[in-house]
Amino acid sequence: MEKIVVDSSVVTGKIRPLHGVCCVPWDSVTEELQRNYIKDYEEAGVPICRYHDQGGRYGGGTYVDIPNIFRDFDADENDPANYDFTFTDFLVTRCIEHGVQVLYRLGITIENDNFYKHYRTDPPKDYNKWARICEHVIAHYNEGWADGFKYNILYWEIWNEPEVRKEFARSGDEQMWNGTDEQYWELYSVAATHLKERFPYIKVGGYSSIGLYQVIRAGISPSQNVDHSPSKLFNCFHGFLKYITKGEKKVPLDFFTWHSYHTKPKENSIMSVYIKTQLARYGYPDCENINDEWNPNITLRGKLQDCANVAGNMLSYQKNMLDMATYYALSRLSSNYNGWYHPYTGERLRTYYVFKGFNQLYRLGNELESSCSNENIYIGAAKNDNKLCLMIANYDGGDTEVEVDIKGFGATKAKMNCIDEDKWYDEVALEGKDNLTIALPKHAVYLLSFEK
Amino acid sequence: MSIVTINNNKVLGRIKPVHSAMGFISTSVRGEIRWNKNVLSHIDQIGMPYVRLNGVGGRYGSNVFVDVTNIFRNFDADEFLEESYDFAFTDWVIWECQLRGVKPIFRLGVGKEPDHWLKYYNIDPPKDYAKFARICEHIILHYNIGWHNGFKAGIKYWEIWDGPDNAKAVKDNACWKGTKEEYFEFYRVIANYLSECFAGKGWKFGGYGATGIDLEDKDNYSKEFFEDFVKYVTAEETKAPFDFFTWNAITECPETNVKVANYIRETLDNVGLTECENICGCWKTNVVDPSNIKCASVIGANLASWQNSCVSKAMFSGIAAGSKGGLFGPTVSAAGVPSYGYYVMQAFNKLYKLGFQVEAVSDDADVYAVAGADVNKVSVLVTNYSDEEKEVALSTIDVPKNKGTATIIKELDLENMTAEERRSIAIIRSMWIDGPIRFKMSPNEVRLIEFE
Repeated sequence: MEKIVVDSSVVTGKIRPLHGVCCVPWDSVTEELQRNYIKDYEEAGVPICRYHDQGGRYGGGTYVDIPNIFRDFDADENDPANYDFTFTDFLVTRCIEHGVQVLYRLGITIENDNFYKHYRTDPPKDYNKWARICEHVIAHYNEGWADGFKYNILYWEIWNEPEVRKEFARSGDEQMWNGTDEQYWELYSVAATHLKERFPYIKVGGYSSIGLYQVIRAGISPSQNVDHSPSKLFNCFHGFLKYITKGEKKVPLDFFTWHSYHTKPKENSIMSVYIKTQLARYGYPDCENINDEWNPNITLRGKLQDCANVAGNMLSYQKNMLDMATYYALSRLSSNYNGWYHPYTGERLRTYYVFKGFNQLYRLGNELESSCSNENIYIGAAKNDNKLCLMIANYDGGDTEVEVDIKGFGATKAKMNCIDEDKWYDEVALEGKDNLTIALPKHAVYLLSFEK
Repeated sequence: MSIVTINNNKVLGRIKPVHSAMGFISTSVRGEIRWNKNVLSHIDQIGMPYVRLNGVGGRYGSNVFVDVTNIFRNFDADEFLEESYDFAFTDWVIWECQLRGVKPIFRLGVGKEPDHWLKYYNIDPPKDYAKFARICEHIILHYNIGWHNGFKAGIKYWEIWDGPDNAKAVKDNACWKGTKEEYFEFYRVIANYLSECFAGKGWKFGGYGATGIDLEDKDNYSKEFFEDFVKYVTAEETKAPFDFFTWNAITECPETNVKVANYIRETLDNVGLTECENICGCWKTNVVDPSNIKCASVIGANLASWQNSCVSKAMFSGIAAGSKGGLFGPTVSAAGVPSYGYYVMQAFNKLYKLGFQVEAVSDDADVYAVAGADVNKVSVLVTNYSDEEKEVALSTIDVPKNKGTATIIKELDLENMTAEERRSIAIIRSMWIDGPIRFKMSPNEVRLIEFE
């Protein structure tokens, strides 16, 4: 028998938007208007959607990427006629109108066949011009420029994974950036400085690091003053932070983004704490720590274990200094990363409901102190004045029973939404009291809701 | 009891390449070259004698494949200069075709734009037909004569545009934003120019991927378009070579498809185009999930039907990884994981390799049969195109009976399978057969019986 204790009198912070996603699962606007996937986002309460790799190769030729919006780099960047916002407008509007905020990646889609021939992965030939182009994209979506909108999109990310080739032995594998590290750092500096001056209210950041796996491999603790290792990715992280802080005035970095794949909650949390700590060390204590591409195991798509993995990660992130997360990714049903939808029918898979369940915590807002006797069972709790929710993810605790003890709440009604082998977020009635015992099968994810 | 009679004394002709394909199995150069995924090696198993290069890379040809606008990106550039062309990714496709003995039908034009109503890019009639013809000429020079570091691939079929009959009203047309007459004139200019350029080479020029000939609809625009087109290209003042006609099947029903094929043959013959090949350029199943056994019977029944029809070739459109109702799946990462349809294609390919068709007649409208033979061997592909069990007996005339094998494609035994196992690929059993051949066919089962 395991024990979970929630102290409803101790608020430890706010539940953070960790149930964001990358991309939308359609390339064709016509398809979306028929299927209405955005309603699923709305129902799950997806707080934010990151646009990167949207539309497939080269952004489908029409979405998001700077070369898709501003097609001729030599054209006049001040002339609205030189911009093609059409499809990106639809994408952005679709999200905003359904309550989903946007994390906009300014840059390009990954070119997996870069080694064969590349098109867009060279550093822009004029960084200042590139920054001005980005400025006009932001002006379009936030200030109405060029028949635009006033969407108040806050997060603007500069490029993605510029160091993607770093860990690979082969040259010619620069799928995101054909330049040097320093060339990227300079692009970031120029663009971030320009955009923040122009739009003081927005948040600029980057750079979607592939991941600091070295921190786990080498057991580097956050307090260690290590800025060099055999890992090029690790060195790139510290090199970037040194570069943008070397001048008299630090380059703006409102958020730092990184990625992780096929990692366990503990491992992700180690990276998260390390990154947050290092950001403070380099003089960015308020810099948001964002994992904007993560997926614990794409081979488990559709399986119950995927639910436990995803929920376990979210709940662990909440307790380990991560400010925001966007799951990768919901682009295309046929993508092996798409854990929400059946690849052919487009029907929801169980993992969808993990997001919906986490959203219940998010809506309540106030994170509560909570503990579990088994470190392989992840939990998170939140409350408002009248309601309290507890999410339990049986990551690797086996079939077990759990005694739940909610201290000081005074529940008179209770229910449970269950994700397990037989149930897909089905609701089960519980006795309305603060202390109860439930069976918790292996890999199950349960959301307990209590009301006064 | 359903009886299938195989008469080895009645040779009907050759087994036709009706198990050809539209599109390409994989467009991941990296996957094939760097990761050795070998997805394309499946072509050796399923045959794919011809591939119609339409829809390669999906939307806008992924901006790099096949479409004239991807090869010759700036229409105003000099069409005689090598540097005006980008053959890179299309070269890879052709190279793979050569490597694997697949003969392309090269579609000169652009892909359908489903979102045309929002904005379209490439489907206006070219502003200069003569120039477009010269661009096509250089594409042919590159692939057949070796121009610009090209090939001598011997591509025989050159298809002019795709789907200009997509809709009667220009505003509704996703493939051709011009009138019917504008397409006719366009075809005339291109076909005449290319056939003059390459006179005596034996290459064929045709079109046009008709999108929806429906004999039940008296106002069917596609039918009207076709009938007017063939009159146009055979009229003295507007004569143009028309060596093959490609059309899309609008249903998975074999009987309906045969009726359309017969109507097309009759219409072509009536205007004197007796040598014009009748090619079904795209057919597919309505079954969404390839792991649904019904895919097998739809494919099996249609292959038998196409073989017995007047078409010279037929192209199945579900070959790309992740295609609905296709041969592989379910996701991009599972590319190369065969599903039921794959094994049916593989079985038909065995008939194709035997070379000759011999008579196989079924007395049951739901049981389809097609037989192939060479000097030593006779094989018959039997399809139970129904949701019921069928008892089938083979009656044979002059068929070798020394030994034989049966390859059975049927749904897995459900009783002892979990839901996930049930979604696995088909079970294949080979067993020796001897004596009178009677067997029970499961619903939607396809069976290949090989005698030698």
